[in-house]
Amino acid sequence: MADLLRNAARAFYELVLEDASGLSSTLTRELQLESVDADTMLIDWINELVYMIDAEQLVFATFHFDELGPSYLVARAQGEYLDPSRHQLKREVKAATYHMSYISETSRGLDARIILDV
Amino acid sequence: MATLQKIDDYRWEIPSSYKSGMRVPGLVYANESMIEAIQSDESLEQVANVAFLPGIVGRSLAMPDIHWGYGFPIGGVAATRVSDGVVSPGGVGYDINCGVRLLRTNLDKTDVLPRMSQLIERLYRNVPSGVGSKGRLHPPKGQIQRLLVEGARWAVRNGFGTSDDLEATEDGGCIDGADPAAVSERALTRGVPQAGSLGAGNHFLEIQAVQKIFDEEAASVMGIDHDGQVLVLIHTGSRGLGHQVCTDYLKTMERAVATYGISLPDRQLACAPVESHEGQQYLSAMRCAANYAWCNRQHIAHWVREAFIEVFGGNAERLGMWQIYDVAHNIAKVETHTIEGRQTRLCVHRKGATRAFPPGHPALCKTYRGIGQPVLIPGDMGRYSYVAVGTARAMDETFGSTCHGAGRLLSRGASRKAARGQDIATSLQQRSISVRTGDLGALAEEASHAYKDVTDVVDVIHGAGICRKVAKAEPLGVIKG
Repeated sequence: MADLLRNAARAFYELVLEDASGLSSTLTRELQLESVDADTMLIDWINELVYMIDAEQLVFATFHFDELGPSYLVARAQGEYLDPSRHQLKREVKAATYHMSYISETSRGLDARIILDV
Repeated sequence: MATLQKIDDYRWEIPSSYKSGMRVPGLVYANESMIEAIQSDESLEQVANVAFLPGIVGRSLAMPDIHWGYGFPIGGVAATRVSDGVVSPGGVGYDINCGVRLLRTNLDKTDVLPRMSQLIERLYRNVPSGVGSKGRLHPPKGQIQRLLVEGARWAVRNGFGTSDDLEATEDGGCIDGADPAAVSERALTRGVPQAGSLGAGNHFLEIQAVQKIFDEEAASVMGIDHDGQVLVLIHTGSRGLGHQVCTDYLKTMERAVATYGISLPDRQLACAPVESHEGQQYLSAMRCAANYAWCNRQHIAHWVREAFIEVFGGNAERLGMWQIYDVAHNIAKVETHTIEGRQTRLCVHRKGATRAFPPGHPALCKTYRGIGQPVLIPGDMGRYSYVAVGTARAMDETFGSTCHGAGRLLSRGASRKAARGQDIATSLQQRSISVRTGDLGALAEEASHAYKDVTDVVDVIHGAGICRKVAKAEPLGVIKG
């Protein structure tokens, strides 16, 4: 699940930033979520990242999970304030939706889909 | 969809027997060729899914600009009884009170075209737009609650526009029952810095010229009097504040679905009884977001007037820059309609649909009592837009609702693949349509090929009698958010 959350965050930043490579880890924020199930937690996770961009202009490069249950987490997220000279926003995301979302177990690990409203 | 039944040239029914759990049939407004295209995605399934909502009355409706949404289709209308029905944030969407406002002017396109680049630059500077744009408004901390309660009235009280603007706005630009206590800190943190901005996505500001008048009497009441007359269309909503209200309350509704034992075919339709604590809290917060959006469009209209004055001189009065109307097209309203001969209070969800009240309706201002409510139907930025009026038939059939725009044919991703933003800009310039955008990619997402032809959409609603077309306008210049 930790890898799924990290990869979902990476995919999200690829979609919203002009160049998502080379994000630095100059500051740390604690993120806490409590959801009804794992599917919802993944959606809540992306919505947390949406909020951090809109509210604080923060983007994260690395995540350390201090606690991670089937529907709750406490994470230390390390990242930086958006610097338009290095990381320009290319998309405004309203939210991660429940629409057609899933998490499924495959032989290669967890597979998930989330659709963003942009 | 095998069970789709043609009623007439403009109406198709999805019988309630299509899916076990549908409480009412679905009704789709479309012509023969549109209905084929509509069936290429899952939007008709969504019309059927909406029919599961407890307390839904009449039919689950889809306008001809229907396309695949999240839970509800975009272009969907659903009315639920207040007494025992539900309210669903998905039936409003993330951009609460996304809507359009239309201003008229005394100018002719021959006055404006020679100064178009100057005008577009001035508008671009006056109205913040684009991805991540911050607003020009900066409301003082102590005033934010007032803004959420008073909407466009707050803006006018502070010198942005006139009381005539409020008269020519749905609900006077201020919906009752807004309670800021129902809005989370997160929604405020996200939304307040964006107050007074156009935003991105499909939002835009367009300078138009009247191309054709279909109904001279109604057009004249609106101040539309000749071909070539310049109009200004503003399309934006409640920015991050509305987005966060929807996100917050979808979570609330997820829990409410379990609490109230509601069975739904799609999680995105999560809802709660209208009269429950959760339902009332959502409506209170949604109304704050709706008021924020009206306040936003009110400020933008003021800055548009300032830009015109800077370029053409005089003042707003001399330029004849009065507001024709402002409509919401993502909203849930408590309204009274006649159901089986009885006056019934309903929660009408319009998700990508416009209110279209008929002549004589008490909710209309005096100016429009005689002709019906103006309905503003933007097309895509390369073609044209329409102005129409509401009808009695819409009141009978669609809870006084009609379409809201052209409706997407291609997703944003597919549209980007189909054409480059630079090519779209060049093609628009070749047709003498000036474009200003901070993001060429976004231009490709909103190009004509991504949308249905709005004329086809308007012909269906006009033919079906759920609004009556008044005038058509072509774009002269566009600021793309």
